[in-house]
This record gives sequence, C-alpha cells and structure tokens, in this order.
Amino acid sequence: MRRTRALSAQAVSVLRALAGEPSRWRYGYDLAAEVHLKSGSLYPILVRLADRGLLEATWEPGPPGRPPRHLYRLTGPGREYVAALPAAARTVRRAPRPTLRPSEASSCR
Amino acid sequence: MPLMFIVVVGIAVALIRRRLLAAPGDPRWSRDTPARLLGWAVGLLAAQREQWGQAMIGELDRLDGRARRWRFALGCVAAAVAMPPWGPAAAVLAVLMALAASAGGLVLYTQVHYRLGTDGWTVAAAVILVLLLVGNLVAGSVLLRRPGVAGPGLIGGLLVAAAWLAASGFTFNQWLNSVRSNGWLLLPILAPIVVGVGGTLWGGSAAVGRRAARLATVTAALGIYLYGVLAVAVTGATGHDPSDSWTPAQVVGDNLGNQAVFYLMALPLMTAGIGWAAAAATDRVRGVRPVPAPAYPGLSTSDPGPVSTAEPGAAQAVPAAATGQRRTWYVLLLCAGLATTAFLVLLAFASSRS
Repeated sequence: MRRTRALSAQAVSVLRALAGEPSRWRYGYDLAAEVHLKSGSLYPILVRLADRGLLEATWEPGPPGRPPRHLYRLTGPGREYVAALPAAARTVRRAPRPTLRPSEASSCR
Repeated sequence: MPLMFIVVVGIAVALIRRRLLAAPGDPRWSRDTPARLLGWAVGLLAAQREQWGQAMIGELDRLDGRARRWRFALGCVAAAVAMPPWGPAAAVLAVLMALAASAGGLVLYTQVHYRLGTDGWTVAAAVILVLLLVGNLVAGSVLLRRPGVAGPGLIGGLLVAAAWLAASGFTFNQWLNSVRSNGWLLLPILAPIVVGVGGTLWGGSAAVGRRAARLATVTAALGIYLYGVLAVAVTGATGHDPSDSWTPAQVVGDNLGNQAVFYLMALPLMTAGIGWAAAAATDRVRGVRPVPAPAYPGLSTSDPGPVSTAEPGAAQAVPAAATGQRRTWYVLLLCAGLATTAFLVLLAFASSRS
C-alpha cells in the first residue's frame, strides 16, 4: 500500500496562499514571492500538490512568439484539505528567509 | 600527446564555429543565458513532467532584470535536474556512483597503506580528484536522462573501456608500464569513432551521437580509473628498480597521479572529442539533420493556450554580408587552428627526439 507522506510546512504555506482566494488563478512567480520560496523549492511542491489532486493548472496564452504561462488554483479536495488542517498547521511555524525583494515581487512583465 | 593537441584545438575550433555560423535568429543564441540554461535543464525532465518545464520557461519569459532571471532560472534548473521520476537512469547512476566511490576509497587506502606524503600538493590533488569524480557523475546523471542516449552511451562505454584495456594489456603490470606495441594504441581512437557513428545512426541525429560519446566517456573513465587505481593499490612499487633514486612511495604516488591524469582527464577529452567529430561527420555524410525542436515542445495541442512555435527573430532574413563576414572569420579561425596544431605536433616530435 502506498503511504501518503505529510505535506511540508512550505507546501502547506503554498496551499494557504492559494486558499486565500480559492477561485483565482495564480502565477508561479507570484506564489513564490508571496510565500517566500525559491523557484527551486516552489515547483517540486506544485508538482507534489498536483499529483495529489490538491492543485489544478491551466495555461494562459502568451503574446505571439512567447511561451504560455502556467496558472494554478486549488481543486475541491485542495480546499477541503486546507479547511481540515488544524489551526496550528494553518500557520507556518517559521517563515523562511525572503528570497525576493519587495520591489521584485510585483514587477512581472 | 600530439593527438591530445589535435583534440583540444579541434574542440575549440568546433565550439567557436558553432557560434560564428549560427543564424541571428537561432534560438540557441538569441535567448539570454538563463533561458538557454533552463531550456537545457527542461530537456532532462521525464515525459510526464515536461509541462512543468514549460511552466518554468513561461514564467522566466515574463521576468525582467538580469539578477532576478538568473536566480529564478538557477532554482528551476536545480528543480528540473533533481525532479523524479528518473526511471532506469537511477539504477545506472547508482552503479556510476559506486564506481566513483570505490575509486576514491582505493585512492585513500593506497595513500595510507603506502604512507604517501600529505603536504599541500596532496590536498590540492585530492580536491581536484573529487571535482573530477563529481563532475563525471553530474555529467553522467544528465546524459542518462536524455532520450535515446543511455543505450548507445552505455554500450559505447563498455567498448571504450575494453579498447583501453586491450591497448594497455590486461594485466596490472602491463597496465602500469604500457608494454603493448603502438598498433594497439589505435583501439582507443577507433572505439570513440564507432560510438559516435553508432550513436548517430541509432538515434538518427548528431546530437544523440555526441551525447552517446560523452556518456561512453563518463562510464569508461570511471570504470577504467577504478581499474587503474586497483592496479596501483595491488602492485605498489613491485618491480621498481631501486637504482633510479625513486623511493617506493614516490613510485606509487606517481602511478596514482598518472591514473587520474590519463583516465579522468586525457581519456574523457580524447574520447568525447573524437566521438563528437565522428557524430558530426556521420551526420554530414548521411545528410541527417536534427529535427528542429519547437520553441515550447512540452505542450500538447489540447492545452488551452495557443502555442506559437515561432521564435522571435527566427524568420528574419540573414543579411548576406553578415553571413559572409562570419564565414571569413571561421575560415581564418580554422587556418589558425590547423597552423597551431601543426606547430604543436612538430614541437612534440622535436622534443621527443631530443
């Protein structure tokens, strides 16, 4: 039987960020900025959450000649998962060191 | 040694040629380094993870600022390089790691057993050795995950290793003293040619042939290095003539250093260089052209976004004058390379006669 591992504190913080506005599609970079994660940590977390069915993704078409952009939001089970989290687990125990400057967080093209 | 000169100069000429003759719209050169690096790393992902690689590329495309792009791209590269599933590549990588660890352990054993010196040079040599072993493992882990490369690369590695063993003799004594005739030395040259040609024919493109040659290089280098270190550890200074003023520890230390220089530096350079040239030559002769990868290859047609495969600037006509100028530079470079090679070969012959 496959054992389901508990989510890490960072993964929970990503879920919480998405749960802030559950119906809104979010960009990966914005999520990284909001939860203070590096891209190298964020994408493996997003992959795990999507594999568990807690996250859904879609593509936003890019301008001609540019790649499309991936967008994420919680699925129904994802919202239920966040709602079922104990109150203590809903807050990240220790905020990771910010990796993005505040000025960078909102300056995506 | 002359062959080494030719290989080094050949690699330099080929690298610069690729850059000089690239069309202005070529996506390999028109994108900045973080984008190219990420594009390379995304190619390592398993098929079921490709869309995540495209997600990283799409996100990087919207970022401004050099430092920010670099930070984002490096993080994504680390994630892509380590992201599971690895499939059978994990098992092969474990074998390569076992080879490297065994070789490192044997070097340490030899160092202690024969009481070799532990001065600053020893520490520097140990650091270089660790870097070489780790570098080979990283290269191997990357190449193993490239589609179509593992099969010809691993078979090629066995072939190259067998060629070096045959050329040096199969006993430890022959290995350390190179007693075979010069005719056998053709084998280590022929083996990478076979790997480069075979990889290109197998995979249908020169890129697969080149990667197969590099993977063969990595596997053969680690295997042969372990064999060489084992030879040194077992034979020690046996058969050494005491009248040559070398102490047994010096003989062992010298042999140990030679194994690293020959089989972790010279062998990889030569094998990869010759295999690369053989793959390119096969590509030319067969007229096989690599299928141009779409700019955003991981997206299926069912994805909601309209995916353009056009790269900005790709359709621009290349000005004839600019092309001619680049070709002139290339010809000049080639002539300089050939002249340098000829000079170095003559120099090597002259010094060997004196």
